[in-house]
Amino acid sequence: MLLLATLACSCEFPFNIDDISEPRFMIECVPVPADESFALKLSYADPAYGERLKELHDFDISRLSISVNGKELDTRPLSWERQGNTIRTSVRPILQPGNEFSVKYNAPGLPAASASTVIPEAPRVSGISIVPSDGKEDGKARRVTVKMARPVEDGEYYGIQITVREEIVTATMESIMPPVVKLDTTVTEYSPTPGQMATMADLNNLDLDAFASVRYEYGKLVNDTGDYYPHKQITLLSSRQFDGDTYSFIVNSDASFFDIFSGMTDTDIPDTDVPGETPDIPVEPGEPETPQPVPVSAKTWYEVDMFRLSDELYNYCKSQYLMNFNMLSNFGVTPPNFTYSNVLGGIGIVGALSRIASGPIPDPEDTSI
Amino acid sequence: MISRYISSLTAAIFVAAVSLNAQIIEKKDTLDTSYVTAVKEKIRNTTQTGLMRLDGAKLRNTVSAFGTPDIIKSLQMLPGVAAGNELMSGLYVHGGDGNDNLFLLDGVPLYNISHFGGFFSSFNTDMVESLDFYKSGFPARYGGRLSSVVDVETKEGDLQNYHGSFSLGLIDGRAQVEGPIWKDMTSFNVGLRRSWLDVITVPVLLYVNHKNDGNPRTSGGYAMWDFNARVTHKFSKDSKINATFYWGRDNLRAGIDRNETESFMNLGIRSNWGSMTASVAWDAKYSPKAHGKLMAYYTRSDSDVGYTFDVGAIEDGKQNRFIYLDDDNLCDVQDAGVKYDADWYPNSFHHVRAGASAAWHSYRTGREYNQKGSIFGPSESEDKNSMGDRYFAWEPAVYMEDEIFLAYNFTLNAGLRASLFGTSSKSWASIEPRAALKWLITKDICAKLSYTRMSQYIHMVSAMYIDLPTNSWMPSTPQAGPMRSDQVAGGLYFTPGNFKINLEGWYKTMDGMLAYNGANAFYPPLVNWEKSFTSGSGKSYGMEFETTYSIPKLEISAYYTLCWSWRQFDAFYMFPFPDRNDNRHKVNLVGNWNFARGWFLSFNWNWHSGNRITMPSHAVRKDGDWYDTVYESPYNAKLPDYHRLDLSLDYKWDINKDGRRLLCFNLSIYNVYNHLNASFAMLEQDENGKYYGMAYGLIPIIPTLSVSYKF
Repeated sequence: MLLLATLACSCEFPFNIDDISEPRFMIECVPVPADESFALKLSYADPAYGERLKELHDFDISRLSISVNGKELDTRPLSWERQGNTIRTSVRPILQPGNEFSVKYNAPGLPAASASTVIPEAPRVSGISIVPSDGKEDGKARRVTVKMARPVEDGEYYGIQITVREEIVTATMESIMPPVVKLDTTVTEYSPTPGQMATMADLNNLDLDAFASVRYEYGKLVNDTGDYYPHKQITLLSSRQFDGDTYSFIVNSDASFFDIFSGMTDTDIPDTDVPGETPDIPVEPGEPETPQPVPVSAKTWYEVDMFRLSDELYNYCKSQYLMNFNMLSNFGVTPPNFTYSNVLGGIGIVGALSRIASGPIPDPEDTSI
Repeated sequence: MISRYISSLTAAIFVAAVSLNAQIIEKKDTLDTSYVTAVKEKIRNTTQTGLMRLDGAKLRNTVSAFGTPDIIKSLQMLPGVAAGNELMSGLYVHGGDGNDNLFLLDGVPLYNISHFGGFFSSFNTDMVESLDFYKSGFPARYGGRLSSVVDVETKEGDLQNYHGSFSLGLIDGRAQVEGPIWKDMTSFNVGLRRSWLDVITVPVLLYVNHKNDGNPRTSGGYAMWDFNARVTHKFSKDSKINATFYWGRDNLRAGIDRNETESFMNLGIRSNWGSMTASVAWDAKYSPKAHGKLMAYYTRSDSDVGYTFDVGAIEDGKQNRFIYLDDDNLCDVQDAGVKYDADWYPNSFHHVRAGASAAWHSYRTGREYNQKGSIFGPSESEDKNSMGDRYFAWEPAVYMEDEIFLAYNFTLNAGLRASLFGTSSKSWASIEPRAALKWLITKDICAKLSYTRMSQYIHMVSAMYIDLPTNSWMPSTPQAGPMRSDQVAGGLYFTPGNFKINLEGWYKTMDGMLAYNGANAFYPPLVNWEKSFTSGSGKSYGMEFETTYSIPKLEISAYYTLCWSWRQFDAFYMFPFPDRNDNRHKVNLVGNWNFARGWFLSFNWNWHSGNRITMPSHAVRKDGDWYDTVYESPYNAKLPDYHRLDLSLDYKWDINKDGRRLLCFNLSIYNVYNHLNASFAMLEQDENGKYYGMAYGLIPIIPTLSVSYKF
């Protein structure tokens, strides 16, 4: 009754956010080691409250400073692409683990925005095994075990990305055709999954790290982590997921030939992941003039990419992920764990990662259809 | 000759200082008149900063939200204290985290100090004799928490006559009775409090179920109750024994059962939590210069939160159970301990206090789970599991403090506390220096300075800043070590005429603080819990101003707090950010006026800068009119300022005109001018795409009538 009375009397009223009156400069960059290029994104962030500026901000690249171990790089040759109040470019300094990579932009009238990160060592993986899962999972459940060269310690952060690839050979009535589809199939399930209470892997353990993931594509983070594209996401790992030097989990790829065809979207088609392969546009079932292909065999393999993340990048990725779960933050009853930034005087992230790729690992039980 | 003159002069100054102190104390102290207590008062009033003493009568006369006086709500009014969410039992002292306050009930630690998510505190004010509230300058005898000590003492029963009171408020009823068991030797004092919301909900639910013909059948209710008891036996003038007991519970349940021709569904939610304490203490005065107290105690807080969900189909009269889930989350914390405290006056210039304690702690988290049903496999298969862990810890501590009367009206209280906290995985030791210095400048003016280091070995495991039964206490682990704080406080204190004016400042740092780094959840993680938390530090500084004007029938106090409170959690943000209770300014006006015979008017006006919230702060323009909102930092926005006026009008009808039997009527009005303060806020967008903050106020005016009978 009290609750009802309270709700009946509640009201809403607009108010001014006095504290937020100045624009801030935003830097987003995830440097990687070796001869790889990565994106650098610079933006003006205007106060969300109050009148909006009609004009776009001017960027003066001479005010940008990028340095490696304190030595400034020449930014003049960089070519920039603009979208609204954001400009972006691709940089390719040759970075080594242990290098300090710094970005600073001194916008007129604003506090100088600066951030730096240290390039981490690549993860040292001593072995990866993939075996059929002995669990009760439906589909093609496989237990993936990643063994590191040494036990993982607190404060070390990793990421893992699994790509399940299937080569499907199809046939028409007359002849067996060469493989026509080579796809990243959907990793439908990591285990333990949220809500999988039956296994009770942990006691009330909302082991978010086990599910926290971010999209990382072509040298840049994609911030729409609410979308679920597991085959393109890095699942974040901290020491809590490792049992000493071992991380083990179940990956379940139950996408069948027809699932691939029926559920395919543009994002399911790899762009240039496999050199020399240009994926064909799959044939829409039901088109009368095209003979229906019949799958006759399928070969599956896995590719495991392990990442080592800098502290800043791990915290940023996790906070980006937790942003999807901050429903109660407006009530002021939950910690502010979704606002990470390491840009002094500004907003954003400069955090590094290193990657090691496993190469193709054949499925232990190749299936023929 | 000169040296003899100097020593005589020094001795004269010492004596003058001591006697002057004693006079002042005598003037202020109108409470217990026993020798030991008087000296205790003397110590408290001479050197400690940040101490406020509230007596039970004053606490019972404060304005209350639901007709029930509340200790925590009274403390929230004091300077240096932030209240957090409205109507909750938050106590954020000098930038503290709310779970860093030591609550002692008759010297026994109390872990769960509120009922119903924090709406009511666990302390029944009818039973309270006095309350000491320390915000800084903690004496060495207290330890184990960072930010404050709330030392509540219940009343000893009257050795001569029977007294009592019965009260009925908006949501609860209270009874308190005291009197002799054996005249002049043994007394008792018992208090009982129970909410009666369920008395209303039962007929309402009966009516609803009757209207539905029992399908679906709705059940539910909430009740909270607590019971206090104290038995005192005096062996002699100088020796007595006290046995105390407290038991408080909350019970919340709700359910719905639906039975159709072809299906059934039953859902039940239950929650049961509470605390229990028991102690036996022997007080003895060995000589006019020595006093000791030996105490053994046990304290426990526990909770059981669970649900049952049963759904299925009925086919050919047989139940086909799809899902049956029965889940209980259990946690408890228990302490058993002994402690000994001694007072000793070796000479006129020293008052030594020393003591030792040993506590055994037990922390448990558990889950009992039962799952069956056809969606999990054959209907008869059952996945029944019980799991959990119990952690033990051992905490011995010793302390010593000396109140030293120095020359030139200086008094120093120097102390040291040493403690050890041992668990199966790791042990921690802590040496905590405590010092307080007072300079009596004139009869009415004194200055004080204090330094304290505090350690806290336990952590509140909670995913939210709400006092939920799912919260649990856990010991430090190698990954989540003890918290530490260092605090320096100092001030000037004036007592001109009927005025009391205090101006005090503090600077405090806190390390090893923990914050949950996961998604919103009512159930915090309990296995490897520390890995879901991140550690950080805090810093708080500010000043408090307090002035009180007091004449026999009127007392008015004004408090002002200027405070900065910061946090640094590297996992949340690389740089310091404001605390959510960083209320920069806080003003309280509190008054009591006995304006006519039997009539009392109390008021409380509270204003403070709004609590801080985290909202999208900036927008990045993309192509066209598309914007991405981003957060600059945690707690980057401030809710609108908070203000509220509460009034309380009491009439005490002296039935026999002899003061022995009183019928008291109380009209309390919470939030008199119905200002709906912002409880939370959202980011909204108008038709032009412009963002603005929208605050939501929830708590309206709440008038309450209560009646009590005192004899």
